[in-house]
Amino acid sequence: MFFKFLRLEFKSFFRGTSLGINLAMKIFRFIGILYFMGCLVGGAFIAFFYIKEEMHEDPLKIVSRFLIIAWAADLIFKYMLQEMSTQNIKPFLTLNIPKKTVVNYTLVKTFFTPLSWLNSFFFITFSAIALFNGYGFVGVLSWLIGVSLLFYLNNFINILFNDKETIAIVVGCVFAAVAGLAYYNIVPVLSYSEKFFFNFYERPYFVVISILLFTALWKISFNYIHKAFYLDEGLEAKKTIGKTENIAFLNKYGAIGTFINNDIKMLRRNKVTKGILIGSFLFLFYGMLMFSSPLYKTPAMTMFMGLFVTGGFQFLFGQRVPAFDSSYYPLMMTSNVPYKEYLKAKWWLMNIMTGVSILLAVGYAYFGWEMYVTFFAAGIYNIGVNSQFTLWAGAFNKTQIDLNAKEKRFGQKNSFNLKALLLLIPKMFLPMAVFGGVQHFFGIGAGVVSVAIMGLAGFLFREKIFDIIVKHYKVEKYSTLEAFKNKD
Amino acid sequence: MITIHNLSKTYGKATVLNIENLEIPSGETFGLVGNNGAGKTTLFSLMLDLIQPTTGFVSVDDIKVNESEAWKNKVSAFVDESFLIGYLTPEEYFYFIGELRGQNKASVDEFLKQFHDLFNGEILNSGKYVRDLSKGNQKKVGIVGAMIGNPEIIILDEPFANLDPSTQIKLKNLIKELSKQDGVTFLISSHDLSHTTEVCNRIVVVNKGKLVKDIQTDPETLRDLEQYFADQVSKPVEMI
Repeated sequence: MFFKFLRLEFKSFFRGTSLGINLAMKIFRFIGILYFMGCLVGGAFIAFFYIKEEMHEDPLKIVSRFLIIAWAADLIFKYMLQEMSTQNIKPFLTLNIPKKTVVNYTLVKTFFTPLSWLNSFFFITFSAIALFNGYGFVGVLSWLIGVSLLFYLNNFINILFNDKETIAIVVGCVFAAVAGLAYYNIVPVLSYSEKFFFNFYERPYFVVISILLFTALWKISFNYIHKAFYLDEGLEAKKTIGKTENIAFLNKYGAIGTFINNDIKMLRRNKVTKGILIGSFLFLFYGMLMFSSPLYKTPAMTMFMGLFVTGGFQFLFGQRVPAFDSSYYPLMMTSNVPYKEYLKAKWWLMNIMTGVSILLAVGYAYFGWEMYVTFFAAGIYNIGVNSQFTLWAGAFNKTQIDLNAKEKRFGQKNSFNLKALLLLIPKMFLPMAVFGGVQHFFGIGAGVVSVAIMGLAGFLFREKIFDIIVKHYKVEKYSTLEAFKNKD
Repeated sequence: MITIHNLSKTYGKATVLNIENLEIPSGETFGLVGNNGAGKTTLFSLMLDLIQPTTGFVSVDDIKVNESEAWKNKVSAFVDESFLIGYLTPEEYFYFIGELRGQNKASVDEFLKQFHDLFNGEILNSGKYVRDLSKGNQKKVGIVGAMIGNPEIIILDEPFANLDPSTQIKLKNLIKELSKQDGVTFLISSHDLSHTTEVCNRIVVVNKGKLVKDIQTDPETLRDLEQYFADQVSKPVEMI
């Protein structure tokens, strides 16, 4: 029975549209997986011999020491990326298949995603090397089984808690707290980890703990799914309660206000756009790159970071501007929507967010006022110049976006377009060059002022660029409509 | 008035629509009937300037739709779910549409009152987003949305499909009322001959992209149409 299911699964992979990837993307994905497999196998060798030869420590102990971090990271990744797919289960419900089999099948299926089994490449290789280097067979085997089961049971934890955001937040806070305690050496988390995981080797009977945990969680998940295995419960796509809301003061601004209101709702209520919000928040920390390499300490690179720190939302949102509205583009095209108003609404929204980012970036003043002033100038440039150019680049992006697909949050395939790439020159390189140059000759004050002036100039000429984009929209209207209609 | 002149649409070698002349005067309730693939949706898409004609043009009150956008003030449409915004609640959707057509919230609320019966308590204040409504209820939202803001011309593609019998009757009454009171021009496509003959005062049959029948509705129309489609079935060889 399982074998039949698997065959269906293969077919759905090769014929499927749910992943939204064409053959090229599949190959790319496959190469990516191969790459990670290589990395993990190689990593196992490096980890073992580096620790042994260079650090003169016990590799098994040191690896055990950091396993707690790997385990937590594994859980976090699974929570973010892996969703138990239940949609293709529906046809089996009325067929003559025991429910037990179907439930177990959905559980087992989660183990087949690369995210689940990739870590085994590391552990198996590492254990094999350990065996060849004089570690006891029983100990290593018990270590491998114990550790692997603990990693694989993350799948069950993910199934149980994936749709419960509050629990996820609590767990996230606990993780952060533990990480903090470990970082400041208040609680020696790492040595607990070492003790715990190394126990599997030293006292092989400890593996029973893992096995018990694994079976218990399997049982719990089984019951959880079994109970909710009805169309109107677990198998139903999750619905949220809709609330009618409206930011009243925006209504004063006519069509622009209406559009901004609508966009805010879009950002808050769809999975993809929530990802954008999280992404733009993370971009605020982009400036931390300066700690990675002295290269980032140069003025031009500080400007580069500033553009991303203040413009995260702008870049992520702006380049998908008509694409976000793809699912109801025919409505927009037949309604009495003036393109310019539509664009301006997006423009305002982006700039408000950029403004907020500029305020939040004040934190960087901690690393010196010069840094913040540079970021500030970058923010002005983002508002004045880049906002228009990003919208312009977005007009070339004709990838249809399914607003509610979680799997596309990362690696949303972007249509690479030469013109869109060319627009990177005014967007990134121009301010970097000007700031770097002026700062070199006249000092930082002049550099900041010159970039800010460019921002102001862009602000004054914005109507011109809007006109160009509007023209582009009109020329490309039919092909855009066509492209947005294609569901992969 | 809608004028169609020498309109055709070709994909590769296949001509999916070819209409030489068609005039739809104001205030008419115009029914478009045909089998799957006859070109009904293509015709509507051309009227709404969603696709480009290969030859000819459609004009609304002498405005060519692919040249000016002024027709957008007069026309509203509900063709399929791509005219709905899934992440809004039905109320928000109506307000959004209303605001684009120059209505404020209060006037939209006032307008919606008459649909209380049609909505059957399942749409307004239901605590659901449009994307989570059933297909039938989504259709109701789309159709009512197309009526907001006193458009002169309303285009509805397959409005009766997916609706329950009571709603079909209510919708028919609504269309009759709007066309009688406000002189709204309706363009309705359907597979369902009896619904179409009931509400429309003119019916056009398209087959394989060509206009094959153009009749003013009278008590005989339904029988005529049924006979026509029955003939199509009984001589399949000729069709190929």
